[in-house]
Amino acid sequence: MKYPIKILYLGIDTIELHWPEIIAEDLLIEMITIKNLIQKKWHIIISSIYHSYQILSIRLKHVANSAVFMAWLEELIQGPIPKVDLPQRWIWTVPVCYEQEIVPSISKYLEKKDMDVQTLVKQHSSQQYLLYFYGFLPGFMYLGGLPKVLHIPRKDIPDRNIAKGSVAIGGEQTGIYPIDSPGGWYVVGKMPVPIFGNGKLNLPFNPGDKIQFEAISSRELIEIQEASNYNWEKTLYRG
Amino acid sequence: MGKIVFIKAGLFTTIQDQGRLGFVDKGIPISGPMDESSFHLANLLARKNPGAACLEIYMGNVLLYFTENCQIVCTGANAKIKVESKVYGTNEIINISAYSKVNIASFRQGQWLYLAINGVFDSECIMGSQSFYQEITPLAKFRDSDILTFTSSSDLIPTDFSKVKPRGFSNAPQIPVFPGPSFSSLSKAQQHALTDSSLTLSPIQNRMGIQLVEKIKHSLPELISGPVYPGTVQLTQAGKIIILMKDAQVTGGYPRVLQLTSSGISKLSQLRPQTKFKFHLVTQKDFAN
Repeated sequence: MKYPIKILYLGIDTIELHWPEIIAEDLLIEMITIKNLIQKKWHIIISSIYHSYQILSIRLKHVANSAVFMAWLEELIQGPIPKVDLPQRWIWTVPVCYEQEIVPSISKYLEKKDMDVQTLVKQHSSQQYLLYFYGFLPGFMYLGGLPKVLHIPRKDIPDRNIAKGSVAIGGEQTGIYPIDSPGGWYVVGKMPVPIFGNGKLNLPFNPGDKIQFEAISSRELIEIQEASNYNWEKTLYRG
Repeated sequence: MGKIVFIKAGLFTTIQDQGRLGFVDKGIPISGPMDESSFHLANLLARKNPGAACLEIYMGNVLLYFTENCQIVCTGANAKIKVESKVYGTNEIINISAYSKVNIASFRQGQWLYLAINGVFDSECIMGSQSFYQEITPLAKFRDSDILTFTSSSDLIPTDFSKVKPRGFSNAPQIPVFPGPSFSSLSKAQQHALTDSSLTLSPIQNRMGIQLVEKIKHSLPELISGPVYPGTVQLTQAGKIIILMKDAQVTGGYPRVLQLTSSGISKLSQLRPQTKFKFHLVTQKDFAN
């Protein structure tokens, strides 16, 4: 591997792989590659795999066979990254309505930043954001790549309720609230596709993929909301 | 098909099974029973598989109306279960006849009670689990006059067996914990304050987490978000001690100082606010045999 990886045990059933404490795309890809390899080969003894910016965590179902697994894991992390196992990555287009009548709270962000709405929309929707992982709330994406001009300190007093589907900016991050939740971010847009429904999470994006927001009108927003399903647009990412 | 009508649903009554495993990488909490040991016992006594769905009841004060014959068993908190005028305890098979009311009074000790049925609770299984969670399942908790349907098993459990003694509640509980990744970065005095001193449960608690009254001043750096699990003990920047429970989010940025064992989570969940307890440090070797 390119980065040094430390193995840490937590209790009897949890093994954590710690990369250096940085946020980096090549580190993420290395971690996903290892995650996929572990999942493919050892799913029978694994209860769940967590990952975040630089920690991959494996919780075991059957502790009995863990010695063989650990020997395999130690050898893997010392070797070179197996190129054939690199994940396939996509760029997904995600519709967002930034119109004032749909998102009245956008004015709070614009006032605070002394920015016009065109600049905000252009800056926010012209980027490809890297999906690092899901966390914080069910279906909440940690996205990297928010342009510096859009950074804004989080609110001192969090709002009691940010509605599901809200696209918001807080600190150096942007994201979509998948469920209603209190939060200290500024809401600047609305993503119309329901994130939970029919017994599943309707976000096909995987860590390592890129998200590109596309500005839509309030009419398009309503059309998408009224449709029974939504076909996400994607193109292959060759990075 | 039978119905359970929640005449009084109580403060926080949900369905819990083994939990929603395998979706943590989409940010989905694991959920599942707060007191897993009592949950397993309920299913064992009801002749069910260990992860089968039970009703999880918080603090009691629940009145149920059953429209069909069935057999139930309650475990966990110390409670009186009154079926019409007859009184039962926990850990015994109770025969319920159709059109009877079951009153579960305020618990005398403990906080969480598991009601297993000799049959199946019919509720939606989403992402492999019936465990309630806001937005994922249609209900976040039962409210007054909600209805749950069930199917009784045709194999009756004989009730002439000896009973399992109801659990005891210790006066000076010890909660087994493993050291967390940031434990060794604490000073000896801070470690002592965490694992050798008496700690107190605060009233700030729910299925997501439990906050303690005591605070520990420290200068550990804030971390970039990493994984957290049920039973992870976080130390916030302000020194608050928060123990994550079953509905906790899957990532967090606070230093992780301790990790409760699974029996530690079960034990702790039954302790009420203001209860004093101690964390008892264990190592992997204690589990090897």
